[in-house]
Amino acid sequence: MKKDFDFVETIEQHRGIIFKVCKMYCPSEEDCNDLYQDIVTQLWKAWHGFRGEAKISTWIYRIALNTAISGFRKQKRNPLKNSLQDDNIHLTTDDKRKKQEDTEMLYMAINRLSKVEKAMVALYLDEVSYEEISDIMGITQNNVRVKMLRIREKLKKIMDTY
Amino acid sequence: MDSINKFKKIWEQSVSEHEKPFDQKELEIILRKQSAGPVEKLKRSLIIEIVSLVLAIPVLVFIMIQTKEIYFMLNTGGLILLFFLSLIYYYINYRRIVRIWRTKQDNILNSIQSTLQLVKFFRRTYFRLNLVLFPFAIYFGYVMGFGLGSGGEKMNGYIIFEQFSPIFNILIIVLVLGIMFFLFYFFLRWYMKKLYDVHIENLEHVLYELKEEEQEM
Repeated sequence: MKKDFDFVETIEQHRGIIFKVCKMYCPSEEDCNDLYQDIVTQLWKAWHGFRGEAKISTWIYRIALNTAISGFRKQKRNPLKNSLQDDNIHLTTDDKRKKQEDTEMLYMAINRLSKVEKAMVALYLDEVSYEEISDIMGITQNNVRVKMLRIREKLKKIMDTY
Repeated sequence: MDSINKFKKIWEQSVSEHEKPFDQKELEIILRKQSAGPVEKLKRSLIIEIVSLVLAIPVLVFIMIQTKEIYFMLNTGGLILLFFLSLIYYYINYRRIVRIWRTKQDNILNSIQSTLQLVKFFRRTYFRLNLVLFPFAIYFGYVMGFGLGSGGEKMNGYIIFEQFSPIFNILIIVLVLGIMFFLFYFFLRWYMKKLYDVHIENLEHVLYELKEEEQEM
């Protein structure tokens, strides 16, 4: 019971990671919900084997990204609403609207990256160190550096076109 | 550098508007839905096949006991043997799948490698076994279904094989099985491709992408 409570608390604290991964890998709301459930299920299954050797956020990232990349998932309908084109959205302030536009733009840019690039950019933007990215992805730090350089340039170029 | 910092800031704030509380109740709902991972889905498919065979074998044994003709006894026995060998084959491969999945998966690269190995292995197993199982099961099914009366006695008019010489019978059986193998080969290839090849290609692409720089270094 204590273990269950710890798990709920851990997910509650780090749910931002799961939401970000879901939003990155799923073009529709329905897919997003399915992936969210898949990730939580996989985390739950792995929870009893987690011995705390890695940081909890690293562990969550590894399982969430792995589930998103390797899952047998067919993409469904209903693409995520783009707030830039959504007339029904009611925002209270310009500042909030700007924030939402920036967020949508960033996700649209990320959406044009490959599965591996998406995973690495998520880790990088969350300020995970190259050493940890290398541990999570299973590639050398040099490889991480080379890939990150390329991804940053690609992302910048995509963002500039918007 | 400025633009990267800007991305980081946007990224950080991106989730705050989508947050919803996670509690014990939500966990229970998610676990009740039991969304299965790729390995669970493959394991479940194999278990379904194993259970079907386990259920079919006693029924066939019962039918064999009821038959009064040696011809049908041999055919039913053949089908039982085929199902029994399939059962062993499936069980061995199920154990192998579990073993592959237990290999070290402490990072995404290892995990993708294991999943890929597993899906390929499963596809091969499923393809080979069904290629043998389908034609023989249809042949034995035809003989038993149309040739055997409810009392276990032979029914006339349906079995063509015993009207000719044994060599001719064997040739007909080989020809029929050959045609069925041929048809099922293409059907199963199409079916496997539809079910698993897209996923295998995706995983291979991810693996290639992860390793490409390391190979060049």
